[in-house]
Amino acid sequence: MPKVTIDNKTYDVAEGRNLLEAILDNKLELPYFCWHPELGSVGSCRLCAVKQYRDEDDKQGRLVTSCMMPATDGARISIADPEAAEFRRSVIEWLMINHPHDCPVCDEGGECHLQDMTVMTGHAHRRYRGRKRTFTNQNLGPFIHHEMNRCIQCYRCVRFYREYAGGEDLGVFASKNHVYFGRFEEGALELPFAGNLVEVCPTGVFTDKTLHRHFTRKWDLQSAPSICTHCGLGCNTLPASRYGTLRRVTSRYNSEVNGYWLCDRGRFGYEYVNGNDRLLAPASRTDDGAPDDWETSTAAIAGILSEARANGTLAAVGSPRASLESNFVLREIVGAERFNPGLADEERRIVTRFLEFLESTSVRCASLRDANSVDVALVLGADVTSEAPLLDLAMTQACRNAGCRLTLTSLRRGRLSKFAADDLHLDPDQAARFGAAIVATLRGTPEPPEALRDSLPPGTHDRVRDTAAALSAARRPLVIAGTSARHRGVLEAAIQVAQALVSTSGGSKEPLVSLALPEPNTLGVTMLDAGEGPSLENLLSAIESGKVSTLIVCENDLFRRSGNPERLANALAKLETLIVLDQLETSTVEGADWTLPVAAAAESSGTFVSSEGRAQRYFQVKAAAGEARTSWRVLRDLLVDSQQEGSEAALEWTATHHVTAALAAAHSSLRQVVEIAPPGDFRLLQQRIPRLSIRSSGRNAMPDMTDVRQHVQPPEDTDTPFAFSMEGYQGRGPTSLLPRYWSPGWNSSEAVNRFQIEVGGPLHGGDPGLRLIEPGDIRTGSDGAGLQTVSVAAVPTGKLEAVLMLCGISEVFGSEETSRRAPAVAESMPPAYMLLNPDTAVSLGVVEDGRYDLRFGIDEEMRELSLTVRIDETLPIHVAGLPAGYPETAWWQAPCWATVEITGQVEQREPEKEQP
Amino acid sequence: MLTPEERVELDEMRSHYPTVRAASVSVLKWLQKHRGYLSDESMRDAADYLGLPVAELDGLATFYNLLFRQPVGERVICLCDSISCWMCGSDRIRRHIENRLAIRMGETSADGRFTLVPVVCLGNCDHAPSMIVGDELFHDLTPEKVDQILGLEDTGSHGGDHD
Repeated sequence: MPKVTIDNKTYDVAEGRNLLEAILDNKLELPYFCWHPELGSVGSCRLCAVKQYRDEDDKQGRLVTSCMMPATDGARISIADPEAAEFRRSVIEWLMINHPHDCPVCDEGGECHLQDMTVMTGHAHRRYRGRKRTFTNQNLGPFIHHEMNRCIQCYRCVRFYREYAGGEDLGVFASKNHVYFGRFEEGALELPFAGNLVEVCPTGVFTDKTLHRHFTRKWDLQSAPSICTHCGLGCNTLPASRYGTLRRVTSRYNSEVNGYWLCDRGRFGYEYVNGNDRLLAPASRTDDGAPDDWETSTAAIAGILSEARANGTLAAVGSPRASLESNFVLREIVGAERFNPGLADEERRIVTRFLEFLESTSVRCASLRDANSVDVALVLGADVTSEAPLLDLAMTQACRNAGCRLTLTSLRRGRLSKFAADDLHLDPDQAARFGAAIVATLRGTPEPPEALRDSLPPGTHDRVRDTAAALSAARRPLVIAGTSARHRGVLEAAIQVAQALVSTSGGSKEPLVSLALPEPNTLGVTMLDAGEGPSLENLLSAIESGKVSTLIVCENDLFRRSGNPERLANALAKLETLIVLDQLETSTVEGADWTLPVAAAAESSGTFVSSEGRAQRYFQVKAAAGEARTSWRVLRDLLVDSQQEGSEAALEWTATHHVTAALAAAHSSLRQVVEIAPPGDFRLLQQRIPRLSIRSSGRNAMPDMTDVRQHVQPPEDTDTPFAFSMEGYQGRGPTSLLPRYWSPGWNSSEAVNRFQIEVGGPLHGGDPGLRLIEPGDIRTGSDGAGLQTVSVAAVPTGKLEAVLMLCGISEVFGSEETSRRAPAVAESMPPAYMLLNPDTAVSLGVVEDGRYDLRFGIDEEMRELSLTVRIDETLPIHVAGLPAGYPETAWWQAPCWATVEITGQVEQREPEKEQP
Repeated sequence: MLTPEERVELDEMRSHYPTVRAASVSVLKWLQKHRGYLSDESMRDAADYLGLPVAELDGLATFYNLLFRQPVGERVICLCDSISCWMCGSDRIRRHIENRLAIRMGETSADGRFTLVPVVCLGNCDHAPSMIVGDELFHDLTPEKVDQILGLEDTGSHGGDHD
């Protein structure tokens, strides 16, 4: 281990570090701008200058840019050297010549790296009296606010946007004093990771536009560690609130998961929590004149539940977006055989199969960090960018840095295509066959069976051969499948490819798999359910036949799961009682007899299991909207009040960790979830950890026209070790309980370097979360399973206009249920469409952007709706793409053949005038 | 849109370079030569032709002094504003040109004949002050010589040097 002498003290430094990293790793203070652990060194700002000495006798030394110099054994440097300190001060003074004095009105103020560095270098007096250069800003869309005058030319933004993330539409223009970072022309930034500019920019050039609308200084924000709910990756987040509204989400560093980053869906999707369509109070449709408060509602519903249970007519639907705790309590109410986990049936089969596989294989389920460094990757039937956005960013790193050879099989060209060695545009059926053909090749059957070959487009065979060869030669191959295609065959093929890689390599490889899951707890609820509950199909039949007449639905919109809205609506109408717990108005809520408002993730505490199999705890950030309560609490009250047998234990469940412990005891696969974070009664020196910063201001100011006492009592909180206060333990707690990154002198998000063992590496005390499924030492598996493929229904016959395969197109913005209710995300959503290949469009007689009345025929059933036609020349000719997760397309779930008729053209209205 | 003829000529030029990035400045220069300046449309044409992001190409176009992103006059006067020329009186030459053409630095004369822009050192310091007009380098400038170069001798009496 190299030893470096810094200001006459000797420090150990890890191999391969530069001097700046060596200094920061040892928690010494040295200012910097352009260097970033993930973006590397470019030496452009010169702020990290130090004196370096040749040897002990060298008293002169020379100024070096520390981020550009390797920390070699025996290196001698000085941070405190007066010449170096003066040089750093001058760098800031030069930058300040053009930087405006607008900190009081700048959104970055108070968490600005430039402010911190200015203070750190001691530049305090401005001597420059001339004019400052000014720029015109651009409208960069609904997420990012642009203020170019504040720029200090560190180039971090373009280095992240273009080099790191592979974006193309942010550039750097002009030269010298006029260097400008922006777009070629005004317009929304195209990269779905643009929000990271807010954190990457060391000053206020790029700031959070959603925060700007309800701005609060960092020191006034109330925050707690949380988990993103807008896909299954489980990115760690820090939502922050003030005065009852959620103000923003920033990334919470986790070196195993999201690192420094978040996608824009995760960062800007939070505003649904503040939405006008939140359910605020319990409501019943019964007209009995009784007030709909919690007590009467709970008592009434508990009565209904005990009766229904006695009759054997009770059932429940859980949810992949609800916590393990809520799902567990719900399952306790109705029993395992009457609990549906709330996934669409095909998705549930896919996820169950994936879990079975993981539990019986030596193949590792890839973490995001694993994905960053794979050398060959095969994506089967998934659009990684929209299904699991940060996995796209990880694959980008693998391709950029690890020379990853990427084979993509998705419906159309996407963001990752430019990195792909092979980019095939296949329907999910074909993608599954492509995977099966690779399995055949890997297993030494050089010619795949004809049936396989014939169903793939010409030329695909070569791609099979090349991909299989690359996978065989790979050290760390990764196979990715998705669930949004709703196609079992795709996952089956992915599993078999991974399996074949294990068995043909004799254990020399470490193959990885990943399944992109759409919701935060899809894996968790499937583990809880363990395949014991009824399918949605069986549940619907039971309702139709009257065997089930009371249904509780927890945080789930069944219309997103069923694929047959009319049948579902009829079934729900047939129920005697439908009880729905949710945050937002949904189609399911509309039909409910009882609606119980429940807390969003940022308003409650619980556990999610990410698509990696990582159990992670999230903690309440703010009080729930209106009268909303945490789901598991509502359900616990129902469980207790309905006096179910065995519900005595539930009497003891007064805090989340009690429920977590109960579910861990009941499910061996989940037994470790108690270990992932300290329980709610955890204290440090008998103190809670404050959610508010020590500098929080005005905590008494809001009501002081009427009363100067702090008369608003903070809500009772038994669930978390956090306090709704600025008072409490001011030291550093466990990493799973870090409510913010803040350190003396480090007010910006760069403060995270004070929490890492080595800058850019794991956190002191370990990254939070725990993987529940680690690969076993199993070298066999379903080896002989051969080339199963699962095909969708046969092509319909009869009088046809056109027969196309309807396939779901996953959208980054729009396909996910809750984020699409956030205004900024809604603005970025494409309106519902039908995507066609240009040739298909010609044969249907439709043109791009035209709006048409369409009639889809699936198995005798007809669906009519109007959609705008969009064209993509990379889409297979036999496919019609419909946006997944849109209410307009809720009638359809999995890929299927359908007749498509054009029954008319909708008059194009004048484009609506933009609201001023 | 590039015409087929433009495409042929650009293809020929493109073939001299190992990569599209290497060819990009030449393509921009060629478009400017034939279209007078680089309009947004020309930038998009170049980006389409080269298969590069337009933001990246515009980074080049806005970086180089001699690539013009706005319409310019028939003759572009690039007056050196670096240190040697400044020491030898380039400010005086600048004011003279500005007054003669009734424009400021960076502007185009009303008749569309001249545009005046600054340029960095032309490597002609021993003959400062210097300027380029069109493709031609002029040195040891005096107000009279400038009038002669720009063909402004006969319009003599108005304007002039007031310092």
